[in-house]
Amino acid sequence: MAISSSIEAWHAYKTHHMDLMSLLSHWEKFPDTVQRPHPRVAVCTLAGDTHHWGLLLATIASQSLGLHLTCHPHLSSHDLLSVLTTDNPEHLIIACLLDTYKPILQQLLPLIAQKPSPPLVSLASSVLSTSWVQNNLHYPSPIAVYKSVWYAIGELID
Amino acid sequence: MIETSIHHGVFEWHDIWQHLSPQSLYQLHLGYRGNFEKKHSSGDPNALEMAKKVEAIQSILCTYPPPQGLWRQCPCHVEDNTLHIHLPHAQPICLTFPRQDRPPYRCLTDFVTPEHAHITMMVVTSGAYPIDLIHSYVASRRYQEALIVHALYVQSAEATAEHLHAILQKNYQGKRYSFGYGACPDLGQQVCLFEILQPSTIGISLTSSHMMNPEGCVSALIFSNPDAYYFVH
Repeated sequence: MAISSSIEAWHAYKTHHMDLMSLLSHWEKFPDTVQRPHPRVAVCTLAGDTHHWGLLLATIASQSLGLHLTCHPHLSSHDLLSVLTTDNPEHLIIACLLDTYKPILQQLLPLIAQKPSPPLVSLASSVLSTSWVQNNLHYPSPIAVYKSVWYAIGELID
Repeated sequence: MIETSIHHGVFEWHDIWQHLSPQSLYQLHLGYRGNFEKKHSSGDPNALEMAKKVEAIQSILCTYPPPQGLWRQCPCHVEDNTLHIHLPHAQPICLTFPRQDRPPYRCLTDFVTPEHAHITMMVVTSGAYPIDLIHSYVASRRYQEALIVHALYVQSAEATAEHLHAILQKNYQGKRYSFGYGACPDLGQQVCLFEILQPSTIGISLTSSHMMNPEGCVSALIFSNPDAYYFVH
């Protein structure tokens, strides 16, 4: 499939040839209306989280890039497991801020792994990259979470 | 004698905007590259256009309920790394802070001295998250406006904290420290601050991870010692 102008704009942003507002402006004018063959992705934040920034940009990205992406804020452990059934994502991004989530995630991961087709799980944490649960988490940093959600989405596109 | 009752303030949006940080708003949240203030004052078309978009959203947010805050000053004393906050007719509330493991081995409690033996606690909010407004912009593919609403909402809470701190500083000088950052990283101690200020009266609650809900909130401890400064561990 040919690269659309919305994806070209994304690449320009990722390579620092376009700033964020210019990217959004481009996406406003030239939305990608074709659903692209990317994996189904669910972006979730856990119940204790109040930050919408990453989810907002993930929503905009999914609308603009034709991603199969759903966003779920403030999920309890039970709700998060339900998303695996309802959305059946191939990739689960958990936007996560705090050390206090670490034990919750350690409980959740084995349950996720028991699913018939477990998704690839990545943790968009405050360490400025797509990081795995065994990484040490740091204190809250909303911009880091937003950036790491972007980074995780970028991995799907690139 | 310190007056220890809880104070409540409702602020004008116009006063809050004066305290917005251009760096945080334009560079951090809206991704502007370069020094926004310099570019804006030099008449850069992109900076001017972005400022115009922000002003348009400000005029919409001004129709929303105004920011509010609570604050309370209490006497206190310290024992090493622990701050004991004295409330009338109640047991002291204790907060423990980490001490640097390298010179100068600083801990927040060092800023409480016999001359500065009181602490001010504050919490402010820019109100409920404007989710409907943001959703309507996203649904109509007005992404820039959606992001500006989010950025202004979050930064308005910071600006309200600055505004209130500026009002309080008319009486004393000091520094404002928030849980989850540098000198007082333990967000769990928000529970104590909530016990003292009762922020549920202005619609603020704590999540299970001790973050404040709604998102546009700032809480802080003010150490009213002119020698107080910011440090990390």
